[in-house]
Amino acid sequence: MGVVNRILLFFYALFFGAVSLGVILLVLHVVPERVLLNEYLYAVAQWQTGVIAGVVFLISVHLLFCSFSGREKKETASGDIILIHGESGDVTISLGAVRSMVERISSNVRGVREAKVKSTLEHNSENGDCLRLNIKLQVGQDRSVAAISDDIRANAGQYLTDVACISNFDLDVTVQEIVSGVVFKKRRLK
Amino acid sequence: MANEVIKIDDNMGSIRIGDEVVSMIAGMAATEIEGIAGMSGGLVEGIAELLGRNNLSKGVRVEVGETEARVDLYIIVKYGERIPEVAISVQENVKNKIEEFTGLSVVEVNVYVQGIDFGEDEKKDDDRKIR
Repeated sequence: MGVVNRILLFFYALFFGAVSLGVILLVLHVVPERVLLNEYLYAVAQWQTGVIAGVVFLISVHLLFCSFSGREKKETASGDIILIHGESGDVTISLGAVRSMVERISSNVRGVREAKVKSTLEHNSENGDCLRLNIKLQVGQDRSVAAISDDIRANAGQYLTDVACISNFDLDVTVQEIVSGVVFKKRRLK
Repeated sequence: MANEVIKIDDNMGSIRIGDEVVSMIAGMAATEIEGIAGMSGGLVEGIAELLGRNNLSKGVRVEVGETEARVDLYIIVKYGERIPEVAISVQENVKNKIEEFTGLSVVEVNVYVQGIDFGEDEKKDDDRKIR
């Protein structure tokens, strides 16, 4: 269950917990009926009550759909990818390591000023786990975007396949910004 | 006293080996492998290292029984090295060394690659400025 749904469920449960507590107090006659009737008449006269009821209804419908939806895919932004599952033990690589690797490879491509990578692992019951990498670039004007993108996909893809031995992956390259200006490297003297 | 792995009782007395020793053997065996840049430790191990303490069992978790052991290793691999090959070499070396020095049967060596080391040279002079 996602974070948003968890938050909704929290407030939903809190709300109905309070309502059920109120009912218990009524049944036990802790709250006098006169007071209850007075509060009820006041509440139904307010438009805010209608708004709250509407919101609760929408959340109810949403959570109902969530409970029935059988999601085949599940994405995680952290975790490990199993490379080898053998008798001697497992070999796994963390998503963070893959992300830093692809960021480095992308940053080294000529024309790239800055590269940020977002990685997710998609768990699919039918097709197996798939690594999704979304590479966001800041590029210069000295080289065509298509050439930069092709180089990144080739270099990163080769590294993932040959070195990390990850076969099931998807690379998306997005150019977020094209910057102008001279770039100079400041080298430290040894 | 720390958890003990092996207790060998013979006529001359008993030999007890702590599981920390097994961790150290595993750590040393892992770092011997070409392609391993280092071991990846947690916060406590990182602080200990900053204070100058050389932690040979950094990035190593062992689970031991009377006759068997399971090892988890958290490693950092050098950039360019074929990860599965390095990991398999680590598995074999760690298993052999532990079995050789302690007599334990190593049932599993799980290797978790936590990072890639790109080398000191690349880190030094990547200072860019855009005018």
